[in-house]
Amino acid sequence: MTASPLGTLVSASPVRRPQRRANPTTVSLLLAAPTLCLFLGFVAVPVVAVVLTSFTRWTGFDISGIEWLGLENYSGLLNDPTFLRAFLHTLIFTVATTVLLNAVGLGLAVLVNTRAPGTAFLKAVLFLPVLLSPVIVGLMWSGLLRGVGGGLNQFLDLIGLINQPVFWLGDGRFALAAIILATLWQFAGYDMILYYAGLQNVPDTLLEAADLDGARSWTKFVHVVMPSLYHVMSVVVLLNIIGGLRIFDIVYVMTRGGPSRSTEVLATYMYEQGFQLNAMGVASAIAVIIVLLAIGASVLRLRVLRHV
Amino acid sequence: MTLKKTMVLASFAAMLLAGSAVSAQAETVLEYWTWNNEGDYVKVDEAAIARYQAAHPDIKVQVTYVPYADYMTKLKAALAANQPPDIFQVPWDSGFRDLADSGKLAPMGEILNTGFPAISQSAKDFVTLNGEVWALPFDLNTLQIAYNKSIFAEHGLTPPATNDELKAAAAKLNEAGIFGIALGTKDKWAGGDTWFAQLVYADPTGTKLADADAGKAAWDDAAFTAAGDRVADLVASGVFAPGANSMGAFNESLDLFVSGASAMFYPVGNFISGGINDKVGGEFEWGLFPFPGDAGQAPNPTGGIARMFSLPAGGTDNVAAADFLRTLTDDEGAETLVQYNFIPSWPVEVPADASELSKNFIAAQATARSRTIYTPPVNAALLDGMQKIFDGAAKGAELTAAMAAAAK
Repeated sequence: MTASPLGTLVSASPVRRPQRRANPTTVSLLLAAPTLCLFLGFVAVPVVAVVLTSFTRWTGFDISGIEWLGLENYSGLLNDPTFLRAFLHTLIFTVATTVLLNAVGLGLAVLVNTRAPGTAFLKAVLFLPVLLSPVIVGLMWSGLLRGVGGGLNQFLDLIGLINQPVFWLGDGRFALAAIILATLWQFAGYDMILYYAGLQNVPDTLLEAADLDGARSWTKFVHVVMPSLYHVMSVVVLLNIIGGLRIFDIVYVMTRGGPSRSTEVLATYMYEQGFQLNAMGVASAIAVIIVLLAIGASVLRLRVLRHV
Repeated sequence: MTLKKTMVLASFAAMLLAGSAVSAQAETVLEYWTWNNEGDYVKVDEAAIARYQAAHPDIKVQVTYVPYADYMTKLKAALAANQPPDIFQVPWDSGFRDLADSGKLAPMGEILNTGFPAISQSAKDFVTLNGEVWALPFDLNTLQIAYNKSIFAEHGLTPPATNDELKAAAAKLNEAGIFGIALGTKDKWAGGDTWFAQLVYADPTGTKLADADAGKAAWDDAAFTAAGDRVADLVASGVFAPGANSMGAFNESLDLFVSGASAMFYPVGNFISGGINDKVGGEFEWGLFPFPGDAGQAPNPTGGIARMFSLPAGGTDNVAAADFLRTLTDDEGAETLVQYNFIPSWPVEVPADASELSKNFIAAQATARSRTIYTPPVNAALLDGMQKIFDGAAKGAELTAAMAAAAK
């Protein structure tokens, strides 16, 4: 009987200790640890601190001067007419910009997707404002909408529509609309790019099948293209809602929340409470409300998507 | 001695020398925060730092400029973290009370009694809360109306001495297609200053503002309401260029004045006079007159502290920091301030060759009335209410009702 090669091999090998396998959970935790530390230090702890501060009275100078108030800051906000106005303006701004940005962004994406001559250039030009700082955009639009010497008034005067300057940013009837317009100008290109990416994923087979069935362009758009864009749309809408809820810079630059609070939004009011009135507790309560609204929008998105 | 021993000793000696060199180079660094990083204040600071460092070669003054918009945010964070700068500028506005109440500022009363010039009592009162002085009032400002001398001469106008004359002048200018006073209330504070300017005449006693701030008088007092009504009357009479709420205090509104579209501009103090000169570029001459009141009332400007500095409570380098403040306010410091049209908060001899503006500012300061409310919510209500008045949507009663409500 000859020894099997395997048997020879086994018998020739030195005795090896069984190798200890690392626990996968431990490895995962170790790998995630640096990111978790950063998340805890820069996100989780500050968020918890803001939530706790929202239940206190604190001027922000000395932590020893902090005073527990419970829900007083929140109940105070509910009775604060300026906060309620800011809340309303934030909702108006968020709804208006979300609807307009999606409509314009989708329209532009469809236009660019036709690949007609010049659309590549158009795509680049339309995306350009996204790269600008909102502060720069705010200053630029403030100049354009200036009452005396502003570009818009000069144009309207030239075509005979006005003979007196209109103070677009100094008149409560127009100021919020002007800010919405500036925001639309800046971010329509962003939504366009997202929708354009979504349009690339619409299956050609479906479009060809619709063609074979004799579907017209509008029918194809409504029944084939749009359903394929629902997931992209849900993300774009959510991003627009979150962006709208926390809008600050462009409002601050263009109107400072005025005139007479007609463009006050939650973030500008939060800034005023925290850094001008030294009411850090109230400012934190407003911050918590903004976060809760954003979380609400996110949950709503998930619920809607479940039914699509 | 062996070579080895010599080498060891030489190395040891070298180490000792190096160590002593390091300790000789070690210097105290005074961290100094300010937001005035442009204009002539920089020159005033640089001159003082040069003098101080020449006298104290072991101390270096490190200036950190923080933009005004971020200043309180950063200062609050530094104070809360117990890592404050050694010397820091503090705001003159309503936030000063919270700062003084925070326990983070070193009391300055004793410090200012030694080696500082005789700072005027009114300036000290401005920075005194709860019986203690909390800052060095460095220099002062006055707020007046700037007017275009060429346009006034062209239309046969002289600086108005009463509100009626101001309204008549504005009407004449408006007829000629020129706006009256360019004023930007987008930032709100300039609108508030028109109320302070009229309060001078609505409250001849000059005591009600301080009383109300101290809780001894109501914010809906008739004098406060009258001041709001007076501004509303000026707005309705076309004294101001339209669209005030859409213009920044020193941007669009100043452009109207510089371009000649407006014949007047408010508010002007030494903090902006250099900027006006730069923008006007010699195109026309301009002068100043105080916001007028009624017939029989002497025109009187408003004013207050321009720059003020504090030290941190328990600061380890407060002795050196106080010395630096002494250098800022010494004789040469005063000369530098006057040279750049600033008004020291202590009596100084104005040189005969001082500029017309400088002489005007210093003369106006003698009678200037306060332009500060120390209670932040009331101040915010004032600024909001003034925007409504400039919108034509409110009058004095609505304004002071809001101020009284905010005080509660």
